[in-house]
Amino acid sequence: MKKMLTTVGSVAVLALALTSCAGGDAPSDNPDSSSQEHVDLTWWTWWGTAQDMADKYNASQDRVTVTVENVGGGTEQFTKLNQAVRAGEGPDLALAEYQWLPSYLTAGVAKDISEYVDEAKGEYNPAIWNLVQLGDGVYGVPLDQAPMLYIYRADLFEQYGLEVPTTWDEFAELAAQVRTIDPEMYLSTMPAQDAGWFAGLSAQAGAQWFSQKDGVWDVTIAGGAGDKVADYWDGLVKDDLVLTDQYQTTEFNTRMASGQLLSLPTGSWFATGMSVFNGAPDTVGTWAIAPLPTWEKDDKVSFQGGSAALVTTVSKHPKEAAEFLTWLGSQEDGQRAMIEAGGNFPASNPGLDVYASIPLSEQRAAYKQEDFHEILTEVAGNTLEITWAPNTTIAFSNYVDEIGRAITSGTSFRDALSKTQAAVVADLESSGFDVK
Amino acid sequence: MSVLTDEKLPAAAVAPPRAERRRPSRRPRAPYAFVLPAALLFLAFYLIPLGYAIYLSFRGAKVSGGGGYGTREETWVGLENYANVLTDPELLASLGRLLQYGLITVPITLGGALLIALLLDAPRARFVTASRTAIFAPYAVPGIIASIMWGFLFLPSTSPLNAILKSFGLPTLNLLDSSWVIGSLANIAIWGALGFNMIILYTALRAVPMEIYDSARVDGCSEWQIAWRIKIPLIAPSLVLTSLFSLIATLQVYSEPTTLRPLTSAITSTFFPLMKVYRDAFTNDQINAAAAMAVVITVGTLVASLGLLRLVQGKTNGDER
Repeated sequence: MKKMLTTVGSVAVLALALTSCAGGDAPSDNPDSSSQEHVDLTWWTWWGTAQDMADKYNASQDRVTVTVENVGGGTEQFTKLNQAVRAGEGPDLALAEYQWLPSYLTAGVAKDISEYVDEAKGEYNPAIWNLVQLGDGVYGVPLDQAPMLYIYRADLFEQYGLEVPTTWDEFAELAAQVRTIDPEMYLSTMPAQDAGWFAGLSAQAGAQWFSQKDGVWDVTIAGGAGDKVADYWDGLVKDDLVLTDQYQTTEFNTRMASGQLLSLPTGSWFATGMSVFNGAPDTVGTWAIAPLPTWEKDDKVSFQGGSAALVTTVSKHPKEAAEFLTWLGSQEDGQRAMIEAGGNFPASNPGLDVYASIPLSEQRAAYKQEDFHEILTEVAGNTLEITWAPNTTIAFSNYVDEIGRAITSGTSFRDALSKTQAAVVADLESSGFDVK
Repeated sequence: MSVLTDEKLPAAAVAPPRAERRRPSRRPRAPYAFVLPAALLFLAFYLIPLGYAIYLSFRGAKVSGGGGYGTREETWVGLENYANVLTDPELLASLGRLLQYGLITVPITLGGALLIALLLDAPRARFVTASRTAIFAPYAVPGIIASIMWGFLFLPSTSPLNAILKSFGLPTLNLLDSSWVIGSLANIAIWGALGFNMIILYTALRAVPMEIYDSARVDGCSEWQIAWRIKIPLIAPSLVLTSLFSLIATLQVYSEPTTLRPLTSAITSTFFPLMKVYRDAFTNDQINAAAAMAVVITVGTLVASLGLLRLVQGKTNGDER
């Protein structure tokens, strides 16, 4: 019996030892590979038309070929990328929404590419470059942006004689007015599972969730102006003046399609992307955009989403990868490829010029609006500098849980934010960061 | 014993000790060889990952160096992860919800399975095969698909139930809000598991010899008494088996609440313990805290399972005495 156990045990250990020997290759020691050899890059992104963008680049030169892989959206890719890079494998490039970049940095996934992309800095609005310049390094190249704006059903507003709100007070009054027109109709929804939405509105009111000075973090999720925003939406939800449906869910799409949802404060991607076309195609063309309602006259707006792309630390060709990103994110040809293939609202100034010159496709929600481009450019020029922390994921998932609880049990949003704040600060401290 | 056998005994008893020492080498090796592949797989895909998870649970990712954006590196942290897990108020809350869910799911699943198995085994039962297949069919539906289908049946805007209520002018129900959601989740689990457990119990009932029932009827037992006093005690081992399966499945509930999460705010990402493990490991990229929690859940499941078996064995022994 003992003999059999020893044999089994040694066979198992041997098998295990052999598998660990056959591990992945170590990254090349020479980052600046010879400019003669052909370079193949992989780009992980969930953008449906990303391969078209890559193909334009591949056609424009023959040294580098970029291939796109879709491993899942948002958090799915976040998980897979972290694990792949830790295993020593993974792509050369990855799409990264701005709020995840610091997390990628501390996970050792994003490479500092400041030496390759310095010239690109001048092509961007400082608020946008601030999203990729983290500490002393640059960890990504901005591709598109999503400043927050207000999108509404122009046809229904006209039908019911409603005025587009310019302040949050007007918004609240309008919400109450809409409820009296039709018991099934709502002015808007508060997307209860989107923390970035709330953080954006909080930043507009003057309370940025995260800020950093000299290596010390300051977390203001609760307290200050954030509480003002919390109380505002708390009141609207509790008085049944707004819904709490998350966008891109069945409930939301059903209401949108049946005209029960009149408007939405959201990132510009809702207007420039395919959300309306996919969710309620019959309403395409009936929407219009306007600047977000404000608290004070000259409030700047924050971003909600928008993505950069990073070069991974396991890439064997960081220079070529950074060159592709510079082309796509800051040069006219690249930004044109991005806009024509995907309709994304570009992050760079050359890109904004290109965007303004291309008419909106008929699949975009507000394509019939005549001053769409003017309003969007105005909104994009009025943005705040915001900062995200290395544990933004934890802040977001805690927020969603706490707000969900507050909505279902009727407790205050302020308490939900306090709990989120406590959890985020505790996590930052236990990771070893300095928090004020 | 006959005299002949007694005469043979001394010869056997006097067998030389040398034969005894040779016996171990003559023990058959074939059974061990058959078990070897399964044992290797068990070692590779169960014991080694379990050991690795325990190892991970004693480590943590800390930022090295100053500055606001240091890189996190894995270091030894001792029992810090366990301390965090056990003092987390969320753990207690999710266990509370799990208890509510379990108290609804397990008794109804097992009770229902037993009842239907007994009914199908009754002498004058009709349409037995058709009923069996129909009740077992839900088990064949993959958990995620079942959850999505039920999700649409519960969701207020697509629910046929609400359509019916509306047509009668009654107020609509939201079966996914906080007062109903645990019941709705239990519903999905019961729907899927009842058939499976029913088949196990029915098979056990079929294996009972008919003579026992005949003699019971001769003694004047009614069908109800036969069921209660004869059938149920005879299939006790199968009942223990199904109870154990149900207990473990309840402690590990994950796919139904996760699939329904996008449809309702009532289900948080830490609604049940296993969901918290997933969230920590993958959404929050904190694999060490998740490993610690997973180990805690495993130990808890082990204790609960052993406790159940101990309890049942105690009862069985008591009956025999």
